[in-house]
Amino acid sequence: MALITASNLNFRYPLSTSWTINDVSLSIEAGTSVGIVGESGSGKSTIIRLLSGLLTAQEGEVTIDGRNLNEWSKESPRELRRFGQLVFQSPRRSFDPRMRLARALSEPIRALEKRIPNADELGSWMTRVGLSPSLLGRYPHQLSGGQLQRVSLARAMSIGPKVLYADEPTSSLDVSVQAQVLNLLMELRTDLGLTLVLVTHDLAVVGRMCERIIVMREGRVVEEGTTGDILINPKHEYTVGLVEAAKAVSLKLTK
Amino acid sequence: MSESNPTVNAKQTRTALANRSGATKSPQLILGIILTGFVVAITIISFFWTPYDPVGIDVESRLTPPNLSHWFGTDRLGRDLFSQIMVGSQNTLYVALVSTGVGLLLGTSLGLAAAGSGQRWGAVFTRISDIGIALPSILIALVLATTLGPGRLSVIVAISFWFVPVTARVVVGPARQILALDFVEAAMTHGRSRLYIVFRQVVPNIGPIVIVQTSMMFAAAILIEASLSFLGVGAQPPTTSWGKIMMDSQPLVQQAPYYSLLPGAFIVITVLGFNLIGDGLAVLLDPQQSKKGVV
Repeated sequence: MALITASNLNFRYPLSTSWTINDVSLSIEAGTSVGIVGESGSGKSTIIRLLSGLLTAQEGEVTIDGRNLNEWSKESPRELRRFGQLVFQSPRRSFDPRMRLARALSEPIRALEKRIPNADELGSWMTRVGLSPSLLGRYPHQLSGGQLQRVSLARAMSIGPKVLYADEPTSSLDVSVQAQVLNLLMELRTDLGLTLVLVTHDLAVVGRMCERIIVMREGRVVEEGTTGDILINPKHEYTVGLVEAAKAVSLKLTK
Repeated sequence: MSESNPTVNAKQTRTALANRSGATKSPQLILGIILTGFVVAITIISFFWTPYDPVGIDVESRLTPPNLSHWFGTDRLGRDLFSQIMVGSQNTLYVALVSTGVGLLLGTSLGLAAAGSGQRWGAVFTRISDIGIALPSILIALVLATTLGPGRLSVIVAISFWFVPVTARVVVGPARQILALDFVEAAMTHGRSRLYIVFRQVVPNIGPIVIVQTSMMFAAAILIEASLSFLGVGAQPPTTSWGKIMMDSQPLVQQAPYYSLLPGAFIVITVLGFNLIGDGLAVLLDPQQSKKGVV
Protein backbone atom coordinates (compact mmCIF):
# COMPACT_ATOMS: atom_id res chain seq x y z
CA MET A 1 0.00 0.00 0.00
CA ALA A 2 1.27 3.45 -0.87
CA LEU A 3 2.29 5.61 2.08
CA ILE A 4 1.67 8.88 0.24
CA THR A 5 -0.76 9.38 -2.62
CA ALA A 6 -1.72 12.54 -4.42
CA SER A 7 -4.73 12.60 -6.73
CA ASN A 8 -5.33 15.28 -9.34
CA LEU A 9 -3.65 18.06 -7.37
CA ASN A 10 -4.07 21.59 -8.64
CA PHE A 11 -2.41 24.48 -6.87
CA ARG A 12 -1.69 28.11 -7.59
CA TYR A 13 -0.11 30.79 -5.41
CA PRO A 14 -2.16 33.87 -4.45
CA LEU A 15 -2.37 36.46 -7.25
CA SER A 16 -1.00 33.93 -9.74
CA THR A 17 -3.06 33.43 -12.87
CA SER A 18 -1.69 30.01 -13.83
CA TRP A 19 -1.50 26.70 -12.00
CA THR A 20 1.89 26.01 -10.37
CA ILE A 21 0.86 22.39 -9.91
CA ASN A 22 -1.37 21.12 -12.67
CA ASP A 23 -3.31 17.89 -12.27
CA VAL A 24 -0.55 15.97 -10.49
CA SER A 25 -1.14 12.42 -9.31
CA LEU A 26 1.57 10.29 -7.72
CA SER A 27 2.15 7.63 -5.12
CA ILE A 28 5.11 6.86 -2.88
CA GLU A 29 5.62 3.49 -1.21
CA ALA A 30 6.69 3.24 2.43
CA GLY A 31 10.42 2.87 3.01
CA THR A 32 11.39 3.86 -0.51
CA SER A 33 13.38 6.83 -1.70
CA VAL A 34 11.83 8.87 -4.46
CA GLY A 35 13.52 11.65 -6.38
CA ILE A 36 11.52 14.48 -7.90
CA VAL A 37 13.48 16.09 -10.72
CA GLY A 38 12.86 18.90 -13.16
CA GLU A 39 14.10 22.31 -14.14
CA SER A 40 13.66 25.46 -12.03
CA GLY A 41 10.01 26.47 -11.84
CA SER A 42 8.71 22.99 -12.62
CA GLY A 43 6.89 22.81 -9.28
CA LYS A 44 9.22 20.39 -7.46
CA SER A 45 9.47 22.40 -4.25
CA THR A 46 5.77 23.23 -4.32
CA ILE A 47 4.78 19.58 -4.61
CA ILE A 48 6.70 18.56 -1.47
CA ARG A 49 5.14 21.46 0.40
CA LEU A 50 1.74 20.17 -0.68
CA LEU A 51 2.66 16.62 0.35
CA SER A 52 4.00 17.78 3.73
CA GLY A 53 0.92 19.91 4.43
CA LEU A 54 2.71 23.26 4.41
CA LEU A 55 0.53 24.29 1.47
CA THR A 56 -3.02 23.25 0.66
CA ALA A 57 -4.05 22.42 -2.88
CA GLN A 58 -7.09 24.22 -4.28
CA GLU A 59 -8.19 21.00 -5.98
CA GLY A 60 -7.38 17.33 -5.51
CA GLU A 61 -6.52 15.22 -2.48
CA VAL A 62 -3.42 14.07 -0.63
CA THR A 63 -3.59 10.88 1.43
CA ILE A 64 -0.84 9.96 3.89
CA ASP A 65 -0.81 6.60 5.62
CA GLY A 66 -4.45 6.17 4.56
CA ARG A 67 -5.59 9.48 6.05
CA ASN A 68 -6.73 12.58 4.23
CA LEU A 69 -4.02 15.22 4.72
CA ASN A 70 -6.37 18.18 5.25
CA GLU A 71 -8.47 16.33 7.80
CA TRP A 72 -5.37 15.07 9.57
CA SER A 73 -3.95 18.57 9.64
CA LYS A 74 -7.13 19.86 11.30
CA GLU A 75 -7.62 16.95 13.72
CA SER A 76 -4.07 16.47 14.99
CA PRO A 77 -1.57 18.80 13.35
CA ARG A 78 1.19 17.81 15.77
CA GLU A 79 0.89 14.15 14.80
CA LEU A 80 1.07 15.13 11.13
CA ARG A 81 4.20 17.23 11.73
CA ARG A 82 5.83 14.33 13.54
CA PHE A 83 5.06 12.08 10.61
CA GLY A 84 6.93 14.13 8.02
CA GLN A 85 9.77 16.61 8.33
CA LEU A 86 11.35 18.91 5.79
CA VAL A 87 14.99 19.76 5.12
CA PHE A 88 15.46 22.99 3.24
CA GLN A 89 17.65 24.02 0.36
CA SER A 90 19.56 26.77 2.11
CA PRO A 91 20.79 25.85 5.58
CA ARG A 92 21.56 29.50 6.32
CA ARG A 93 17.99 30.59 5.63
CA SER A 94 16.45 27.69 7.52
CA PHE A 95 17.93 28.70 10.89
CA ASP A 96 16.80 31.69 12.90
CA PRO A 97 19.94 33.86 13.06
CA ARG A 98 19.12 34.85 16.64
CA MET A 99 18.66 31.33 17.93
CA ARG A 100 21.65 29.38 19.19
CA LEU A 101 21.98 25.90 17.74
CA ALA A 102 21.00 24.27 21.03
CA ARG A 103 17.66 26.05 20.93
CA ALA A 104 17.20 25.55 17.18
CA LEU A 105 17.92 21.83 17.46
CA SER A 106 15.49 21.43 20.32
CA GLU A 107 12.63 23.30 18.59
CA PRO A 108 10.81 20.27 17.08
CA ILE A 109 10.98 18.40 20.41
CA ARG A 110 9.81 21.45 22.33
CA ALA A 111 6.94 22.08 19.92
CA LEU A 112 5.81 18.56 19.13
CA GLU A 113 6.67 16.61 22.27
CA LYS A 114 6.16 19.50 24.67
CA ARG A 115 9.37 18.86 26.57
CA ILE A 116 12.80 20.42 26.76
CA PRO A 117 15.51 17.99 25.66
CA ASN A 118 18.51 17.73 27.96
CA ALA A 119 22.12 18.41 27.02
CA ASP A 120 22.89 14.69 26.52
CA GLU A 121 20.09 14.28 24.01
CA LEU A 122 21.11 17.32 21.98
CA GLY A 123 24.77 16.37 22.19
CA SER A 124 24.10 12.85 20.97
CA TRP A 125 22.24 14.20 17.93
CA MET A 126 25.20 16.43 17.12
CA THR A 127 27.54 13.45 17.40
CA ARG A 128 25.22 11.39 15.26
CA VAL A 129 25.54 13.83 12.38
CA GLY A 130 29.29 14.03 12.83
CA LEU A 131 29.51 17.33 14.67
CA SER A 132 30.95 18.24 18.04
CA PRO A 133 28.41 19.03 20.77
CA SER A 134 30.62 21.99 21.62
CA LEU A 135 29.06 23.79 18.64
CA LEU A 136 25.65 23.88 20.33
CA GLY A 137 26.35 27.22 22.00
CA ARG A 138 27.04 28.90 18.68
CA TYR A 139 24.86 30.94 16.39
CA PRO A 140 24.10 29.69 12.85
CA HIS A 141 26.40 32.26 11.21
CA GLN A 142 29.32 30.77 13.11
CA LEU A 143 29.01 27.44 11.28
CA SER A 144 29.75 26.55 7.67
CA GLY A 145 26.94 25.66 5.25
CA GLY A 146 27.78 21.95 5.40
CA GLN A 147 27.81 21.93 9.20
CA LEU A 148 24.50 23.76 9.31
CA GLN A 149 22.91 21.32 6.88
CA ARG A 150 24.01 18.49 9.18
CA VAL A 151 22.34 20.25 12.11
CA SER A 152 19.31 20.69 9.88
CA LEU A 153 19.19 16.92 9.31
CA ALA A 154 19.61 16.28 13.05
CA ARG A 155 16.79 18.73 13.75
CA ALA A 156 14.46 17.01 11.31
CA MET A 157 15.35 13.52 12.63
CA SER A 158 15.12 14.41 16.33
CA ILE A 159 11.40 13.68 16.53
CA GLY A 160 11.58 10.42 14.60
CA PRO A 161 9.61 11.20 11.43
CA LYS A 162 8.48 8.46 9.06
CA VAL A 163 8.99 10.61 5.97
CA LEU A 164 11.76 13.05 5.20
CA TYR A 165 11.17 15.63 2.49
CA ALA A 166 14.47 17.08 1.30
CA ASP A 167 14.24 20.16 -0.90
CA GLU A 168 17.53 20.32 -2.83
CA PRO A 169 19.50 19.80 0.39
CA THR A 170 22.90 20.06 -1.26
CA SER A 171 22.40 22.63 -4.01
CA SER A 172 23.67 25.54 -1.93
CA LEU A 173 26.73 23.66 -0.65
CA ASP A 174 30.25 23.38 -2.00
CA VAL A 175 30.81 20.32 -4.20
CA SER A 176 33.25 18.89 -1.64
CA VAL A 177 30.60 19.09 1.10
CA GLN A 178 27.68 17.84 -1.03
CA ALA A 179 28.91 14.22 -0.99
CA GLN A 180 29.33 14.28 2.80
CA VAL A 181 25.78 15.52 3.35
CA LEU A 182 24.34 13.02 0.83
CA ASN A 183 26.22 10.17 2.53
CA LEU A 184 24.86 11.27 5.87
CA LEU A 185 21.35 11.44 4.43
CA MET A 186 21.68 7.90 3.07
CA GLU A 187 23.04 6.62 6.38
CA LEU A 188 20.23 8.17 8.38
CA ARG A 189 17.66 6.88 5.92
CA THR A 190 18.94 3.32 6.18
CA ASP A 191 19.41 3.42 9.97
CA LEU A 192 15.99 4.91 10.69
CA GLY A 193 14.03 3.19 7.90
CA LEU A 194 12.77 6.47 6.48
CA THR A 195 10.77 7.16 3.38
CA LEU A 196 12.75 9.80 1.51
CA VAL A 197 11.29 12.29 -0.94
CA LEU A 198 14.20 14.12 -2.50
CA VAL A 199 13.76 17.15 -4.71
CA THR A 200 16.71 17.95 -6.92
CA HIS A 201 17.67 19.09 -10.39
CA ASP A 202 20.75 16.88 -10.28
CA LEU A 203 20.13 13.53 -11.98
CA ALA A 204 23.44 12.17 -10.66
CA VAL A 205 22.17 12.68 -7.10
CA VAL A 206 18.87 10.88 -7.67
CA GLY A 207 20.70 8.15 -9.55
CA ARG A 208 22.73 7.49 -6.44
CA MET A 209 20.12 8.12 -3.76
CA CYS A 210 16.71 7.10 -5.11
CA GLU A 211 14.89 3.97 -6.17
CA ARG A 212 12.22 5.80 -8.13
CA ILE A 213 12.16 9.06 -10.08
CA ILE A 214 9.31 11.43 -10.83
CA VAL A 215 10.04 13.91 -13.62
CA MET A 216 8.17 17.22 -13.49
CA ARG A 217 7.79 19.99 -16.02
CA GLU A 218 5.66 23.14 -15.84
CA GLY A 219 3.73 21.80 -12.85
CA ARG A 220 2.94 18.41 -14.38
CA VAL A 221 4.38 14.93 -13.92
CA VAL A 222 5.72 13.98 -17.35
CA GLU A 223 7.29 10.64 -16.49
CA GLU A 224 7.59 8.32 -13.52
CA GLY A 225 9.44 5.05 -13.02
CA THR A 226 12.34 3.22 -11.45
CA THR A 227 15.69 4.98 -11.45
CA GLY A 228 17.12 2.45 -13.88
CA ASP A 229 14.24 2.87 -16.33
CA ILE A 230 14.30 6.65 -16.27
CA LEU A 231 18.07 7.05 -16.55
CA ILE A 232 18.73 4.27 -19.07
CA ASN A 233 15.55 4.24 -21.08
CA PRO A 234 13.72 7.57 -20.73
CA LYS A 235 10.50 7.76 -22.73
CA HIS A 236 9.28 11.31 -22.57
CA GLU A 237 11.02 13.81 -24.80
CA TYR A 238 11.70 16.15 -21.85
CA THR A 239 13.24 13.35 -19.74
CA VAL A 240 15.42 12.36 -22.69
CA GLY A 241 16.64 15.95 -22.85
CA LEU A 242 17.35 16.04 -19.12
CA VAL A 243 19.27 12.75 -19.19
CA GLU A 244 21.25 13.82 -22.26
CA ALA A 245 22.08 17.17 -20.68
CA ALA A 246 23.26 15.45 -17.50
CA LYS A 247 25.42 13.08 -19.56
CA ALA A 248 26.93 15.98 -21.53
CA VAL A 249 27.84 17.85 -18.33
CA SER A 250 29.32 14.70 -16.85
CA LEU A 251 31.37 14.07 -20.01
CA LYS A 252 32.63 17.66 -20.04
CA LEU A 253 33.72 17.36 -16.41
CA THR A 254 35.47 14.05 -17.12
CA LYS A 255 37.43 15.60 -20.02
CA MET B 1 29.18 7.46 11.64
CA SER B 2 30.78 8.43 14.91
CA GLU B 3 29.35 6.80 17.98
CA SER B 4 27.78 8.89 20.70
CA ASN B 5 29.57 9.11 24.03
CA PRO B 6 27.05 10.50 26.50
CA THR B 7 29.60 11.59 29.13
CA VAL B 8 31.74 13.50 26.68
CA ASN B 9 28.61 14.86 24.99
CA ALA B 10 27.13 16.19 28.18
CA LYS B 11 30.38 17.84 29.22
CA GLN B 12 30.95 19.42 25.80
CA THR B 13 27.35 20.52 25.50
CA ARG B 14 27.32 22.11 28.95
CA THR B 15 30.63 23.83 28.28
CA ALA B 16 29.31 25.12 24.97
CA LEU B 17 26.18 26.46 26.58
CA ALA B 18 28.10 27.98 29.49
CA ASN B 19 30.54 29.74 27.19
CA ARG B 20 27.97 32.17 25.89
CA SER B 21 29.81 35.43 25.74
CA GLY B 22 28.36 38.40 27.57
CA ALA B 23 27.24 41.69 26.11
CA THR B 24 29.81 43.30 23.89
CA LYS B 25 30.86 46.61 25.35
CA SER B 26 29.48 49.41 23.25
CA PRO B 27 30.92 52.89 23.91
CA GLN B 28 27.93 54.57 22.28
CA LEU B 29 25.52 52.64 24.46
CA ILE B 30 27.46 53.58 27.60
CA LEU B 31 27.58 57.26 26.59
CA GLY B 32 23.87 57.17 25.73
CA ILE B 33 23.04 55.67 29.12
CA ILE B 34 25.15 58.33 30.90
CA LEU B 35 23.48 61.22 29.04
CA THR B 36 19.96 59.83 29.39
CA GLY B 37 20.62 58.79 32.98
CA PHE B 38 21.63 62.36 33.80
CA VAL B 39 18.37 63.77 32.38
CA VAL B 40 16.22 61.07 34.00
CA ALA B 41 17.96 61.63 37.36
CA ILE B 42 17.24 65.37 37.19
CA THR B 43 13.61 64.64 36.35
CA ILE B 44 13.22 62.23 39.27
CA ILE B 45 14.92 64.66 41.69
CA SER B 46 12.62 67.47 40.52
CA PHE B 47 9.63 65.62 41.98
CA PHE B 48 11.16 66.03 45.47
CA TRP B 49 13.53 68.97 45.30
CA THR B 50 14.41 72.01 43.20
CA PRO B 51 16.93 74.74 44.17
CA TYR B 52 14.14 77.37 44.07
CA ASP B 53 10.39 77.44 43.62
CA PRO B 54 10.13 77.05 39.81
CA VAL B 55 7.12 79.39 39.69
CA GLY B 56 8.33 81.80 42.37
CA ILE B 57 8.52 85.27 40.76
CA ASP B 58 11.31 87.66 41.79
CA VAL B 59 11.12 90.68 39.48
CA GLU B 60 14.15 92.32 41.02
CA SER B 61 16.50 89.54 39.87
CA ARG B 62 14.96 89.13 36.38
CA LEU B 63 17.29 88.02 33.59
CA THR B 64 20.21 87.47 35.96
CA PRO B 65 22.99 85.64 34.10
CA PRO B 66 24.22 82.31 35.49
CA ASN B 67 25.96 82.76 38.86
CA LEU B 68 26.67 80.82 42.05
CA SER B 69 23.21 81.31 43.52
CA HIS B 70 21.28 80.81 40.23
CA TRP B 71 23.37 78.24 38.32
CA PHE B 72 21.49 78.74 35.05
CA GLY B 73 20.42 82.34 35.73
CA THR B 74 16.83 83.58 35.91
CA ASP B 75 14.06 84.14 33.35
CA ARG B 76 12.12 87.25 32.39
CA LEU B 77 10.09 87.08 35.65
CA GLY B 78 13.10 86.34 37.87
CA ARG B 79 12.27 82.62 38.22
CA ASP B 80 15.22 80.24 38.65
CA LEU B 81 15.94 78.76 35.22
CA PHE B 82 17.57 75.55 36.48
CA SER B 83 14.51 74.81 38.65
CA GLN B 84 12.28 75.43 35.63
CA ILE B 85 14.37 73.16 33.41
CA MET B 86 14.23 70.46 36.09
CA VAL B 87 10.44 70.66 36.38
CA GLY B 88 10.01 71.18 32.63
CA SER B 89 11.72 67.85 31.99
CA GLN B 90 8.76 66.11 33.68
CA ASN B 91 6.34 67.30 31.03
CA THR B 92 8.76 66.87 28.14
CA LEU B 93 9.73 63.30 29.05
CA TYR B 94 6.13 62.34 29.90
CA VAL B 95 4.88 63.46 26.48
CA ALA B 96 7.79 61.75 24.73
CA LEU B 97 7.38 58.52 26.70
CA VAL B 98 3.61 58.19 26.25
CA SER B 99 3.50 59.20 22.59
CA THR B 100 6.45 56.96 21.73
CA GLY B 101 4.90 54.06 23.67
CA VAL B 102 1.54 54.44 21.93
CA GLY B 103 3.19 54.85 18.52
CA LEU B 104 5.41 51.86 19.09
CA LEU B 105 2.72 49.51 20.38
CA LEU B 106 0.03 50.35 17.84
CA GLY B 107 2.46 50.88 14.96
CA THR B 108 4.33 47.61 15.50
CA SER B 109 1.09 45.66 15.93
CA LEU B 110 -0.38 47.15 12.77
CA GLY B 111 2.85 46.57 10.84
CA LEU B 112 3.01 42.92 11.92
CA ALA B 113 -0.66 42.39 11.10
CA ALA B 114 -0.17 43.94 7.67
CA ALA B 115 2.94 41.84 7.02
CA GLY B 116 1.05 38.64 7.76
CA SER B 117 -2.19 39.58 6.02
CA GLY B 118 -1.25 38.87 2.43
CA GLN B 119 -0.49 41.09 -0.52
CA ARG B 120 -3.91 42.65 -1.08
CA TRP B 121 -4.50 43.79 2.51
CA GLY B 122 -0.84 44.73 2.73
CA ALA B 123 -1.25 47.10 -0.23
CA VAL B 124 -4.40 48.65 1.30
CA PHE B 125 -2.54 49.14 4.58
CA THR B 126 0.43 50.75 2.82
CA ARG B 127 -1.77 53.34 1.11
CA ILE B 128 -3.58 54.19 4.38
CA SER B 129 -0.32 54.55 6.28
CA ASP B 130 1.07 56.75 3.48
CA ILE B 131 -1.85 59.12 4.02
CA GLY B 132 -1.15 59.11 7.78
CA ILE B 133 2.53 59.87 7.24
CA ALA B 134 1.72 62.65 4.77
CA LEU B 135 -0.18 64.60 7.45
CA PRO B 136 2.35 66.71 9.42
CA SER B 137 2.14 66.19 13.18
CA ILE B 138 2.28 69.91 13.86
CA LEU B 139 -0.73 70.48 11.61
CA ILE B 140 -2.62 67.66 13.38
CA ALA B 141 -1.70 69.19 16.76
CA LEU B 142 -2.96 72.59 15.71
CA VAL B 143 -6.26 71.08 14.58
CA LEU B 144 -6.53 69.06 17.80
CA ALA B 145 -5.68 72.11 19.89
CA THR B 146 -8.66 73.92 18.43
CA THR B 147 -10.98 70.98 19.12
CA LEU B 148 -9.59 69.43 22.34
CA GLY B 149 -8.01 72.65 23.54
CA PRO B 150 -4.26 73.25 23.88
CA GLY B 151 -2.40 71.09 26.38
CA ARG B 152 -0.58 67.86 26.98
CA LEU B 153 -3.34 65.56 25.70
CA SER B 154 -3.52 67.29 22.31
CA VAL B 155 0.25 67.04 21.95
CA ILE B 156 0.33 63.34 22.88
CA VAL B 157 -2.55 62.47 20.54
CA ALA B 158 -0.98 64.46 17.68
CA ILE B 159 2.46 62.90 18.06
CA SER B 160 1.06 59.37 18.49
CA PHE B 161 -1.21 59.84 15.48
CA TRP B 162 1.85 60.55 13.37
CA PHE B 163 4.05 57.86 14.96
CA VAL B 164 1.63 54.94 14.39
CA PRO B 165 1.77 54.88 10.56
CA VAL B 166 5.48 55.74 10.55
CA THR B 167 6.31 52.80 12.82
CA ALA B 168 3.97 50.49 10.94
CA ARG B 169 5.68 51.36 7.65
CA VAL B 170 9.09 50.78 9.20
CA VAL B 171 8.02 47.38 10.57
CA VAL B 172 6.02 45.96 7.68
CA GLY B 173 8.86 45.56 5.16
CA PRO B 174 11.38 43.74 7.38
CA ALA B 175 8.56 41.64 8.91
CA ARG B 176 7.49 40.51 5.42
CA GLN B 177 11.08 39.63 4.58
CA ILE B 178 11.43 37.58 7.77
CA LEU B 179 8.12 35.77 7.15
CA ALA B 180 9.37 34.74 3.71
CA LEU B 181 12.51 33.10 5.08
CA ASP B 182 12.90 29.34 5.34
CA PHE B 183 13.28 29.32 9.11
CA VAL B 184 9.70 30.49 9.42
CA GLU B 185 8.59 27.60 7.22
CA ALA B 186 10.85 25.34 9.28
CA ALA B 187 9.08 26.52 12.44
CA MET B 188 5.76 25.64 10.81
CA THR B 189 6.99 22.13 10.01
CA HIS B 190 8.04 21.89 13.66
CA GLY B 191 4.43 22.59 14.63
CA ARG B 192 4.81 26.18 15.79
CA SER B 193 1.75 28.44 15.65
CA ARG B 194 1.61 31.71 13.71
CA LEU B 195 1.48 33.66 16.97
CA TYR B 196 4.59 31.90 18.24
CA ILE B 197 6.40 32.59 14.99
CA VAL B 198 5.47 36.28 15.10
CA PHE B 199 6.56 36.79 18.71
CA ARG B 200 9.50 34.38 18.91
CA GLN B 201 10.97 34.75 15.45
CA VAL B 202 9.71 37.85 13.67
CA VAL B 203 9.76 40.32 16.58
CA PRO B 204 13.31 39.47 17.76
CA ASN B 205 14.58 39.70 14.21
CA ILE B 206 13.05 43.10 13.61
CA GLY B 207 14.01 44.13 17.17
CA PRO B 208 17.06 46.21 16.22
CA ILE B 209 15.02 48.15 13.66
CA VAL B 210 12.25 48.76 16.20
CA ILE B 211 14.77 49.83 18.86
CA VAL B 212 16.44 52.32 16.54
CA GLN B 213 13.00 53.54 15.49
CA THR B 214 11.98 53.94 19.15
CA SER B 215 15.03 55.99 20.02
CA MET B 216 14.47 58.19 16.98
CA MET B 217 10.77 58.59 17.81
CA PHE B 218 11.58 59.47 21.40
CA ALA B 219 14.01 62.12 20.21
CA ALA B 220 11.50 63.36 17.62
CA ALA B 221 8.74 63.50 20.25
CA ILE B 222 10.87 65.78 22.42
CA LEU B 223 11.53 68.05 19.46
CA ILE B 224 7.87 68.09 18.35
CA GLU B 225 6.72 68.77 21.91
CA ALA B 226 9.20 71.63 22.12
CA SER B 227 7.98 72.97 18.76
CA LEU B 228 4.33 72.72 19.78
CA SER B 229 5.00 74.41 23.12
CA PHE B 230 6.90 77.04 21.20
CA LEU B 231 3.74 77.59 19.10
CA GLY B 232 1.65 77.80 22.26
CA VAL B 233 -0.22 74.53 21.63
CA GLY B 234 1.62 72.40 24.21
CA ALA B 235 2.15 72.94 27.93
CA GLN B 236 -0.06 75.67 29.35
CA PRO B 237 0.84 77.80 32.42
CA PRO B 238 1.65 77.03 35.16
CA THR B 239 2.91 73.75 33.62
CA THR B 240 6.20 74.26 31.91
CA SER B 241 8.33 72.30 29.48
CA TRP B 242 11.62 72.81 27.72
CA GLY B 243 9.88 73.96 24.58
CA LYS B 244 7.74 76.38 26.59
CA ILE B 245 10.86 77.89 28.22
CA MET B 246 12.41 78.32 24.77
CA MET B 247 9.24 79.96 23.50
CA ASP B 248 9.34 82.43 26.43
CA SER B 249 13.02 83.16 25.75
CA GLN B 250 12.51 83.89 22.05
CA PRO B 251 12.26 87.73 22.26
CA LEU B 252 15.26 87.83 24.60
CA VAL B 253 17.79 85.79 22.61
CA GLN B 254 20.19 88.70 22.17
CA GLN B 255 19.72 90.14 25.64
CA ALA B 256 19.99 86.83 27.54
CA PRO B 257 21.29 84.07 25.21
CA TYR B 258 21.67 81.58 28.12
CA TYR B 259 17.85 81.70 28.53
CA SER B 260 17.30 79.78 25.28
CA LEU B 261 20.66 78.02 25.02
CA LEU B 262 20.43 76.11 28.30
CA PRO B 263 17.00 74.47 27.75
CA GLY B 264 18.11 73.86 24.15
CA ALA B 265 21.21 72.11 25.45
CA PHE B 266 19.03 69.79 27.54
CA ILE B 267 16.99 68.90 24.47
CA VAL B 268 20.19 68.14 22.55
CA ILE B 269 21.60 66.02 25.41
CA THR B 270 18.37 64.00 25.70
CA VAL B 271 17.94 63.46 21.96
CA LEU B 272 21.60 62.50 21.59
CA GLY B 273 21.37 60.15 24.58
CA PHE B 274 18.38 58.29 23.22
CA ASN B 275 19.86 58.04 19.73
CA LEU B 276 23.09 56.64 21.12
CA ILE B 277 21.17 54.09 23.20
CA GLY B 278 19.21 53.03 20.12
CA ASP B 279 22.34 52.60 18.02
CA GLY B 280 24.16 50.78 20.81
CA LEU B 281 21.28 48.38 21.45
CA ALA B 282 20.91 47.63 17.75
CA VAL B 283 24.53 46.50 17.61
CA LEU B 284 24.37 44.67 20.92
CA LEU B 285 21.25 42.68 20.03
CA ASP B 286 22.52 41.54 16.65
CA PRO B 287 24.46 38.29 17.14
CA GLN B 288 26.17 38.71 13.78
CA GLN B 289 27.60 42.08 14.81
CA SER B 290 28.17 41.50 18.49
CA LYS B 291 29.89 38.13 18.21
CA LYS B 292 32.89 37.21 16.19
CA GLY B 293 34.34 33.97 14.98
CA VAL B 294 33.14 32.00 12.00
CA VAL B 295 34.24 28.41 11.95
